[in-house]
Amino acid sequence: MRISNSKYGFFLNTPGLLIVLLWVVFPAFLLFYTSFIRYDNVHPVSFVGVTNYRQLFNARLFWVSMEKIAVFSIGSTALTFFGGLILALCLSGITRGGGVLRSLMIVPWAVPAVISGLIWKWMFSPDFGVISDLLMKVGLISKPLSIYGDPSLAMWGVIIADSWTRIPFMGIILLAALLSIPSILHEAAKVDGAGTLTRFFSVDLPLIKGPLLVGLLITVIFSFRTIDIIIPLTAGGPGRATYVFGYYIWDQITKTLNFGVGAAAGVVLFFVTSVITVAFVYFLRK
Amino acid sequence: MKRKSLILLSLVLILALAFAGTALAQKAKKPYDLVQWNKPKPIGQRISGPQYVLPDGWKEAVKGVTKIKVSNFGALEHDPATVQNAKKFEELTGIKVELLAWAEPPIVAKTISIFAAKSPAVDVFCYDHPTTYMQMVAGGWLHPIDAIWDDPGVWKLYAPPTKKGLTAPDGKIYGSIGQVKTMMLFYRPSIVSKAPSTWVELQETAKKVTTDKAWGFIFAAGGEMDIIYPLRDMIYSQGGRMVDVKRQRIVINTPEGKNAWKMLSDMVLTDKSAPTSVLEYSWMSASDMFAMGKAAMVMTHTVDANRFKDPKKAPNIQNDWGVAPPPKWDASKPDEYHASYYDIDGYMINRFINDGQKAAAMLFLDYMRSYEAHYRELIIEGNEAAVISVYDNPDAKKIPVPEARKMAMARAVLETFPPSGRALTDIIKEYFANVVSKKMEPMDALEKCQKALDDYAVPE
Repeated sequence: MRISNSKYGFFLNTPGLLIVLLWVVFPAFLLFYTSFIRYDNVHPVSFVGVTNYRQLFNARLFWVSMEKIAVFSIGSTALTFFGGLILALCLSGITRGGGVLRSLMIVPWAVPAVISGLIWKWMFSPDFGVISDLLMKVGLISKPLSIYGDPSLAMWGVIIADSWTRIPFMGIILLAALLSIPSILHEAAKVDGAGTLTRFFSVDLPLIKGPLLVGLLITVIFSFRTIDIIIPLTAGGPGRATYVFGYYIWDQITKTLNFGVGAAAGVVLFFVTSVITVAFVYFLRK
Repeated sequence: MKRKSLILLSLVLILALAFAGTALAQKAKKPYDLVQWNKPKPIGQRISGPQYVLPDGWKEAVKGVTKIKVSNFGALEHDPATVQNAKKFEELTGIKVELLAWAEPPIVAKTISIFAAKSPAVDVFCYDHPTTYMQMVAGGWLHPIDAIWDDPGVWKLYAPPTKKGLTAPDGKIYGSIGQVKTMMLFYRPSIVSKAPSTWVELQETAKKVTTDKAWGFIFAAGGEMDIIYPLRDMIYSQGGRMVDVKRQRIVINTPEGKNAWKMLSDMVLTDKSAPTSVLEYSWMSASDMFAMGKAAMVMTHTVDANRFKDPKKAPNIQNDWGVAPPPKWDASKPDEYHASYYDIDGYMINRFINDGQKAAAMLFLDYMRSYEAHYRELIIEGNEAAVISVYDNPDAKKIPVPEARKMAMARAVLETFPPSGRALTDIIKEYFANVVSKKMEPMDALEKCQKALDDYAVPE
């Protein structure tokens, strides 16, 4: 008996398909389903249509968290992008000991986000943190920075801490892309009289556009779900200064115990990240 | 004759059916119903002696159970009393207790995940606050354990608010006690010659003694529920309360709440006797500041006396710390208002485990609330003992300030927050942060905070 290639391919893919169904499709279905039921652990569970969404869009904290996630995501992605790019450009020029430096570069990425949050919490502490101490010693500030008492500084604090863990990832992607550019292109540009900046914008950037967009997409999506670094660092505060959208979902589930509204918020997050993904894919294909 | 035979036959049948029914019912008894909690002695007497006495019928009830799994706050090396109590329970019953050392921050999330999945993975869960416990009750996830509390004498062993803290809105009891908490005023005699006995005095003193080396008063407003501690203490010190029990609402714009809010705001913004970084502090970091010698006064957990006494943990304040009762608001208030909050760290049983496991879990809870278990909590670990008479044991003199701790326990006030309580307290934290970071005027923030609390609360 002969099995056609397509059937054989389907057969080989079945385990993967089952895993995706079990770990992605089924939970996603449950999420959508839960978003339409009243499941607040106070009242009996019942179908309520779009009530959870109405409640969500009328909630003050939902909009606060949306505003914060926008600021956080833009800040974190921008810092990660520039940090990663600078790192990649520097490392791409190093030939001696480059391997060691590349290995060292990845270290922050290997640190669990929660641990990273705790490390930065101590470093930012106005009472005994190294950052305020250093800045005061070099005369840049006269009194300790209180990122936990100043809402605008707090957002900067979490952006820096979050980017610190993501820059290596972006750096590795861009470094790989930069190293794959044939050196002959740079040499030809040099012969044509192109300077460093021109070579970067006219040769490097167009050729690393694909990996760069992929890196940006992953960073943006990851930033939308970030709470692991924020919980130990600022716990969403001071006030709600760092109360990002992931935190809002976490609160709905673990503090309010309103699984219905929490699921509705999850669906919103799904759509927001889907829209961003589609936009990136569009630019990638262009 | 025929009729008589018929009646006789019917009676015999009814009796036989009744007998069979009773026998079946007897057979269908749940394992945990086989335990006679009030035998060989009433519960209150059975668990209050230096040696815990197992209830009658326990062996039959836990037949086949070899192990129970119990969640624990944090690493076990910090909980030597809990570890020893679990071992002792194993020796007594032959049931192994597997303590699951869960890190504190995600412990509630983990607990909820297991409950929501209706999983029997863990038999007994620890909880950190009656508010958390009541949320689990509301979820319908707990096994009722009224039977182990079915003796009026048992409540006399514990501080008065205990019964209130464990009784659910449906009148049933689903939880038990692990340890209890309250607060006292700690001060540095080298800076504050006489401990203030009122909050008004404390504010004045804090203002006077603040220097660039040490803050006058330190409190926490950064961690979960932290700002609630000083607010509650100040409200209770005026005889007020924070929860409108009838409406199940948190109310903080009462006259007492306004006084408390204003005083805390003034300490940071006007008097500058407390730092703006209170927004960063958890209760632990606030008492760390005192332990490091960076504050003249702190209201913190009675159990922190152990830390302040330890030269390694608090080298800068050795022989320079004292303790005083929680302040009342001002001199005009009666002495019973020298009160802080009362908190229960306890245990609750997973509804989704099998009946034999439930029986073993109930037995474990019975042991963990006993005098014997609480003796270890107080003497070995330095936690507060829920069983008040443990403080009268001569060994209690080994711990720091036992008398003051006992008195603080006896006067403490317990309030359980309504559903979503933990999220509601975050709203208070948010608005207080708005005050400290000067985004809002204090009293304006208080009214806005109240509105936000009312908007967020579960509909009546």
